[in-house]
Amino acid sequence: MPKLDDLDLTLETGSKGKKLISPAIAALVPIVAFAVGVHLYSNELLLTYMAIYIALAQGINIIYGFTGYLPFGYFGFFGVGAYASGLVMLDYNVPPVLAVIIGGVAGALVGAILLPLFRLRGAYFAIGTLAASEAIYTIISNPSLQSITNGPYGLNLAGFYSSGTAYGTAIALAALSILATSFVRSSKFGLTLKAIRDDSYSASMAGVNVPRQRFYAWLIAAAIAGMAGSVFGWSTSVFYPQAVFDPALSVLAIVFALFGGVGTIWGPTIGTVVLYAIYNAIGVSNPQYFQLIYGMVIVLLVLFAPRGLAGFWNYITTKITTVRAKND
Amino acid sequence: MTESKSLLKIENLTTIFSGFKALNDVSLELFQGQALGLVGPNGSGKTTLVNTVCGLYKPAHGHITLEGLNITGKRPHDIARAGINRTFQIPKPFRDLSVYENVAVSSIHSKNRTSIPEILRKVNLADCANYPIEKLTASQQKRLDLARALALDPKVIFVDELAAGLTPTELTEVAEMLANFRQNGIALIVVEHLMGFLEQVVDSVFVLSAGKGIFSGSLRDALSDEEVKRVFLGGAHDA
Amino acid sequence: MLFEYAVIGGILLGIFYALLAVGLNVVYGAQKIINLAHGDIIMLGGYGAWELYNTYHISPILSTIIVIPITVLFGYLLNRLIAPRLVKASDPEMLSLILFFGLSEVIQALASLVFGSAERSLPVSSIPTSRLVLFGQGYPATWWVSALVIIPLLAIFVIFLYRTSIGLQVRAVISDSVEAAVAGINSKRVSGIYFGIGFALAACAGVWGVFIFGGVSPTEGAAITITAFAIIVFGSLGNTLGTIAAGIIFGIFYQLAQVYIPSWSNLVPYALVIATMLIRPQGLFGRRQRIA
Repeated sequence: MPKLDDLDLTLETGSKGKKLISPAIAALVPIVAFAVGVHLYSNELLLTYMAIYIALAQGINIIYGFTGYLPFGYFGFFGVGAYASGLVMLDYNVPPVLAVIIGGVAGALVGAILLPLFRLRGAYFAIGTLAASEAIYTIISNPSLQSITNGPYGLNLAGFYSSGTAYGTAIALAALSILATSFVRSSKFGLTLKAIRDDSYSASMAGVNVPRQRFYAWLIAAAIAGMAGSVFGWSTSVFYPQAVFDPALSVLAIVFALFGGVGTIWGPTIGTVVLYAIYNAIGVSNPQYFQLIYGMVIVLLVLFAPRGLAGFWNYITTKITTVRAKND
Repeated sequence: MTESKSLLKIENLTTIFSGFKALNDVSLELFQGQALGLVGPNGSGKTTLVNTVCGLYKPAHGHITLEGLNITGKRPHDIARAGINRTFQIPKPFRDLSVYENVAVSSIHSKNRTSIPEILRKVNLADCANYPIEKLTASQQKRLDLARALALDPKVIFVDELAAGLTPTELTEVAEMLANFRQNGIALIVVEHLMGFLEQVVDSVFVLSAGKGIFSGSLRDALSDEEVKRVFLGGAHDA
Repeated sequence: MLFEYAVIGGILLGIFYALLAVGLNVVYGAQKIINLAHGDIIMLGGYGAWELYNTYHISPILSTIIVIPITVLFGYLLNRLIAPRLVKASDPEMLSLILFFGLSEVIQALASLVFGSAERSLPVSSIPTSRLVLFGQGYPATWWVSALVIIPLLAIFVIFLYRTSIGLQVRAVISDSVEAAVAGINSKRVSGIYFGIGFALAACAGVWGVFIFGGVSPTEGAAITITAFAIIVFGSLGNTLGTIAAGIIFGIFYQLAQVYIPSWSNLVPYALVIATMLIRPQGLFGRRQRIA
């Protein structure tokens, strides 16, 4: 009989994996790819953004893929992180990497404040987070608060510019988020989250402290977004509030995660790489065309492939194994 | 007869849904090692009673104590960890998890850490450990519910209409399982419609009608009680 | 002085907001679908009114009626296309949320491509222009003209819902579509039609939105959807009369904010939806659901 601790909880195929090697690879491959990639493709800022989106997609993966709560307002943590880290850099001369961590903490703090939203189900939660994040945006960018946040005029972090380090931090963040997802997935924590997602009352009768587990997942996701926002602010140098409190950030993160397949480790990573590359190929010069395409991607995904690429991959591999089994 | 320790005490329990009293001042006591049948016509409040004791609903009035510990209005997971658990009328397995993982969710929170294979053996699901839920029959799903309840070292298990849909062989199998649980010190409250099954499993019954307790005693005495007969078999109804 | 202005103006605007929200409530009603593209349908209604005026010199008052059949058909077809897939899914509510979100993006993108991203507006001269003077205060023509058009529209809709046999069928389907089917009602068709009506109501609101919002632009949809959602949650999800009442109350709150704390008035819809969801999630008129 398999021992609980050895059990790798692969969602689709039920095969047993190696506990440490698999997440390590999932994190290392992107690190290596990014390290190499910057020498082949000179637009470092773009690659930085891609790494940031990987982190965001994994954050969504953790909160939606594992608890079933979809925060449309995920961008709120991003903005909070950008402002928290930007302001400590400007006002207190905090070194950027430390500021990024502070941004993550800020994101988690706001996540804790928004905890009451978890009383809401499904759509209510999604829209509630959207309203909360828009409210935060309205407050931070308000001219009345200009002396603290510079109101609608944004922050200028040009003095802290240091390309290599920002890029490295972005990669580290992406890797960290992948490891976080792996941890959630293969741990007892992940098991309880899946139970909660399935039936929260049953889960609580199994002894799961449902509110607390959701809280932890939410904090992790919020911290990731906070750090992502911080790295964004640092590497972009100059940003306006609407750039970091942009609902499109949530949208893209959700689409990337869904496309790749939520609830898996590789899904959001691959989904981000593929779609973000496409975005840069056609989207930057024609944002409306890209919006049209990813809108259609969402519609088609929901209607025909709700499990994304990962679901498709599993479909293929199961077909292959059953064919092989028949032939043996 | 030996003195049995009082395990679960329900006093004056009242649960109200938008003005409707689903439970109206219900009091009952469960003793260690006892198996109590909970019977009553449809809509009499049996499942509401289970749901209220198990934390899904908050009672408007009344107290629930487990071995002296007040658990009224506590959150479901605290109640489960305190030692009360249940099965569901319509089984509720975690569909994304295998049988093994289903039990694991409970066993993580157990202090005694009974091995999962051991628990599965107790409910005859040992061969199905790696099955996905779709592969289980209705009877197996019901036993899985029992396994999940067992994994948390319960002192009391509420068995909610286990017999429905089971074949005679399955019924005997399950009755034996429940008897084994009792021998291991678990008290049972069995919500049932099927009297034949109830007879095999419980010593006494508590009869509910329209949210009120109307009889408490042996099953045989219940069946000859006038009011119980009236409530179950009809008789003079208003309008 | 200022207070009366805010309240009366709020009521006039509130009638517009009531229409704004009713469509979303309708779409939710039959199949529990949260239409995140609601604001975009409103936007399309606005563009429709703009095109009809600029190309054919059709008054917005007439346009309000013209958009109805087009959008009912569009909504009906869309519903028949999508609903079967959604119902089969493991998590229809979330999936419909994401689906309509995708739809919203598609509509916004198409609108940007077709109409360009610059904001367009309609001259006030396209409708009767005299200011309304009540209790010594003047109110813009757009406010009272829109109210005069919207009130009968809402009245007709409420009468349809509560006094006609089709309305009865609709309400049966809303309360339980399976039972309604058992009673012989073609639930799917009724749901589809009702869905289309929801779109139509949104488009009608869109026509007047061009005046109330000062123009129409392809990206205005998102903020409008949130506002509409705030109103229907406040008025109790699924409750038509509740939505109308909530719309008017919202209008008053919003106007009061505009008058007394103008730079923070944008917070009103967000504050309203969060406060409602946390303090009284069943809305003003709903009943509490007992879930742990």
